[in-house]
Amino acid sequence: MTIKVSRRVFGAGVFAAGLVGTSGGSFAQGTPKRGGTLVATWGGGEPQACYVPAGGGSSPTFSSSKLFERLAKRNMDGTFEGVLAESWKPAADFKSYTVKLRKGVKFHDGKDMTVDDVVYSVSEIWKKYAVASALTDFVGIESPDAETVVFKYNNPTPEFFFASTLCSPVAYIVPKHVYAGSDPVTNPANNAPIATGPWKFKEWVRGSHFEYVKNENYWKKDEPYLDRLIIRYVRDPAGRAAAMEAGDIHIGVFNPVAPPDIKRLTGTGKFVATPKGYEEAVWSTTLECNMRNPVFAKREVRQAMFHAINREFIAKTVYYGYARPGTSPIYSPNKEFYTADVFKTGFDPKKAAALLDAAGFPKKGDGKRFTLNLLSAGWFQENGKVGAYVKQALEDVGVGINLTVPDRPTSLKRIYTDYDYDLAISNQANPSEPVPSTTQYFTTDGILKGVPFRNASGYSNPDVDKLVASIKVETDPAKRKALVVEFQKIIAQEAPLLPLVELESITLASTKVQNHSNDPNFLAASWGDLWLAS
Amino acid sequence: MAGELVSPTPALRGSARRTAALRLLRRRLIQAVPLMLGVVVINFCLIQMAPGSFLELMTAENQVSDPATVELLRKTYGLEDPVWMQLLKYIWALLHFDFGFSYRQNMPVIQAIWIHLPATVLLMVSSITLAITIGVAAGVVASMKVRTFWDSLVSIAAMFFYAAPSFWLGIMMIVLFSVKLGWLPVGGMMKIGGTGGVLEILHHLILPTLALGLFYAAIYTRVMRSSMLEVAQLDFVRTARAKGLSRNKVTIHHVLRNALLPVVTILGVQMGTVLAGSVVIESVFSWPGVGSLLFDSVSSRNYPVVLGIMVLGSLVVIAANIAVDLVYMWLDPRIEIR
Amino acid sequence: MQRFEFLGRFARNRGALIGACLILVVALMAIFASVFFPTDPLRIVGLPELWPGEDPEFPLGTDSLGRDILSMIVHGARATLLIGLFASAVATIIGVGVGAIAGYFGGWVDEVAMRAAELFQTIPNLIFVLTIVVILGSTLTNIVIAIGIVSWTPIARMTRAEFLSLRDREFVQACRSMGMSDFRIIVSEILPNALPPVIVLSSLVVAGAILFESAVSFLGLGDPNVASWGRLVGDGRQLIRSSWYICAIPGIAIMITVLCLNLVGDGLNDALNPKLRDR
Repeated sequence: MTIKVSRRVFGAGVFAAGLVGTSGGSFAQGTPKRGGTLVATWGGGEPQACYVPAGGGSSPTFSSSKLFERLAKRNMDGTFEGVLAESWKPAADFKSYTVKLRKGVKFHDGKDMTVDDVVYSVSEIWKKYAVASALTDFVGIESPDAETVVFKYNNPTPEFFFASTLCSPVAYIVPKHVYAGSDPVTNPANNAPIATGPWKFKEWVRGSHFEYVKNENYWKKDEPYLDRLIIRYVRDPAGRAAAMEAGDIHIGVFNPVAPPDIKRLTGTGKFVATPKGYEEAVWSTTLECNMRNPVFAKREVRQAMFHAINREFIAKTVYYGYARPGTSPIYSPNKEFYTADVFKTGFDPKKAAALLDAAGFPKKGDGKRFTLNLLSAGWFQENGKVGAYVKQALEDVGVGINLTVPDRPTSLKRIYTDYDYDLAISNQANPSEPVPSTTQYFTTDGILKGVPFRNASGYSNPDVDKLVASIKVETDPAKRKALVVEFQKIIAQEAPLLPLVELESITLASTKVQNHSNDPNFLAASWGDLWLAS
Repeated sequence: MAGELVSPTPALRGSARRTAALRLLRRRLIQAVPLMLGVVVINFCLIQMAPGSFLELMTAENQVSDPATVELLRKTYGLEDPVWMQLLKYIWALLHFDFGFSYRQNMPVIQAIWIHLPATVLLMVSSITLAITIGVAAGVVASMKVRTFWDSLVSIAAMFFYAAPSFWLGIMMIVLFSVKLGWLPVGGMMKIGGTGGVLEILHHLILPTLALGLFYAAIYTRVMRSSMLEVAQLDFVRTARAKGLSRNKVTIHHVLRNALLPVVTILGVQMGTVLAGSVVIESVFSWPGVGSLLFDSVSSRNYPVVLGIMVLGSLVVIAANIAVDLVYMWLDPRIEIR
Repeated sequence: MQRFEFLGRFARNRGALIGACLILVVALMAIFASVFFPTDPLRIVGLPELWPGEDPEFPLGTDSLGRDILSMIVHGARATLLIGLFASAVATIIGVGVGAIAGYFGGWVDEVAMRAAELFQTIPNLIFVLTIVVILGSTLTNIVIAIGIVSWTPIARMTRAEFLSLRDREFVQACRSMGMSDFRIIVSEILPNALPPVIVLSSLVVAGAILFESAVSFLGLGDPNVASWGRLVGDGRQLIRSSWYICAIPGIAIMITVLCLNLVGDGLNDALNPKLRDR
């Protein structure tokens, strides 16, 4: 199907034309002005609790990251910087890391942050809930003195991996005196958290907003610049657009309004839209094959599925240009590990048909080779549209498709517990560090029945397992990258699960807002350095 | 769902009326109990048949993989008991006004519903008021100018609003009044960052009320019109006219009061559908009421909340019907309702 | 003779006649949809969001993916009418069954039946439908069953009322004395006489079923493989600023269909009860 030029493509064209805002990528002019209230929103809904120890998805991450802090953060230029940690050093054998903690940090209730809080957070919260899958080799944490902790691992642990763990979205340092002795999951402090960040919890009006106030005793002497931060939740994108237009909301992260509204609002000159600030949380829409269906035994059949699909069309029509075709299980913004030099499953319906014929699936009397159940996970509206298109694309090469678009609970159950699908359209959000977020979709030990966002396709390849095991313990960055490149090459050709498109998440902000989108996971940043120009 | 009409007895007066009303009240309340039980059992069975359970969603949100922790969560959330025991426990709790705990909102179910209730009550009351006002007025006008241009106009308008799906009507009104003309807000109950004042809420209330209420206004118009025409032909009205009373006086005192009876009856029956209709309207207008809560809870398999809403909704219907019966008895003293 | 009188009365009602003709048009659209529009209506065939008239190939424009709206409207007629008819059939079968038994046997059977009817009337209907559909899955069958379950009570009451008045008539007593079984009396003697008002009610239930289905599809719980009118309105919600025709057109289709069904139902009602006609 030829791509006709559509006037609706807002994404790529808009950014190329520089309509986004200032060049050079920084949204700050002049010296920070003090005072004022920033009202923010995002493209999703209200969280179930302000802070969810296990993560709980992007919503509680968004609300809690303004209050809590982590040991480290990543900068836009790729370097790591200590937050609650000052520095860290690996041991010679890379089986332990010594972390020096920052002094003079206080919790919002006035108590000092001590080494006990860090030990508690890591052993009780991180290990059990927040980053459990990243800490499989983690043995324990010790505190040789009041300003130092030592992370101990079973195996050599690469530095990039360790630093990424410290930067994980919900790897917070929580107050031991609030959480010790309780069940962290149901602790009422989760709805009115005490933490160390630039913002203090003031109020949660359910169904409406969070109100945070400036932490006067924040360890960073200058920050925060603003007096108040309000996070508003609006059910419907049109309502958010109206509120931003009226000046009632200053900034919205993670696609707060529909693409046509982005164009309209930036056209007034009072708003900027930017895809920056999502480099450590790159979303994608993926297609996976259930290996348990014998039809997918041959990898040519799986490749044929992808060859039949026009990813450009999906990017331009379903996502209005705010997406780009994906090729590798690791996404293009990932500067450390991404390679474009992989087997390409580009749009080629003739090749798809030929591969299917060669694999022993000719078109039968009714024009169909075989029929598959396509499940499009219903948590994003776009997935339904992608599903409708994929159905048509596959039917065009002779594969019969039954499409269902169940709601969130049913989708989770059918994909990750019952494995009740042949093809599934789902989504991922991956950081730069491939272990475990990306690799757990492709390893045998990633097959955990009932646990979502793991290996549901059932793909099990001992070569890949060995490769991932060596990626986990390879401490030389160059060698590690080579291993990850090899991983991408294998997966791209094996095609059990590949991205259809990488999504471009957008932050929309009033031109008054300064210093936004300056963190590779801006949604999960603490926003202490934002300010409002007049 | 009004009670069965017993054949008209000689008019009851004063204390006899009060006793009859109390009798009715008591009887109805007793009848309500097995009804509520039936509602709870039906709803509970339905939710149990769901393919995706709340526990699965909870563990998914918490990214729990350790089977021991999953079991612990199962125990904590009370999902370990066999189904029939869950049901019995739930009924027992209901009798103590404990509707359970909603883990999604992290608060008791009754509190979650309570927070959303005022918005829905506001919407329902304003819609029904609008519907009755327009319906009765239009019906009376049409009946008094029967078979003229006005009558036809009213009838056609009524047909239009009766057939138009309310959600579509709502969207079209948003397109006209919000997007194109900019007079009214696109949705929500108050302005984001607004003060929440009465005027602001009323401003936001206009479109949802119209969208929900015009359908019922159409029904009441038609019922009122035919009821008026029917009553106008009855003996006692002719008698009044013959006595020389003016047409208008006759209309208001005699005809209207009796013609209202069918409208009142329908009102009782409609309470359930108005509540149901508000689910769709709340979705169209992002109105933060019980309908939105219900839709969210149905989508996330949050069955304590769904059950709570259905039970309370049924209670509302039962209460409304009892009220309707009482009003009916008040309007027509000849009637006693069993 | 009686039948011709009936038809005559019906025809004299202009509204009912117009309604019947339009319903016929809709029915023809539904039946011959594949003839006029042989391509799958859910196929992406053109540029997305084309306004009606912008491209002569798509007289009613295209939706957000690029599907032909006119094709979806015509094919949607089939889904809409089928759902309406089958849901009404389910409701009629349940309602007539319950009402007949309640009205004929009386006593505790009647009590139980009426309590059951009250129960189903107490639960707010759309909420009930939504829950059933969400639980059992969004297929056409489930939606039909769900709508049937919430719509049977008025039919049951009407059937019961008819049976109550008919069961003590002479011809029934005569049948009883002849030794006819209850079942035969109900089905072959009373039912044919009780049916006419029930049929009228069923036609109104069809209209109600169409409105239900469109609401369910609008909320996103409909069958994604079916081009239902309600779903089209739901799909167009995000685009009301620029392409509001995507919402407007299918809504008009629903409204016209329901309107015509109401007119026909009214006409049938008037034709059955001529003494009330003169208003």
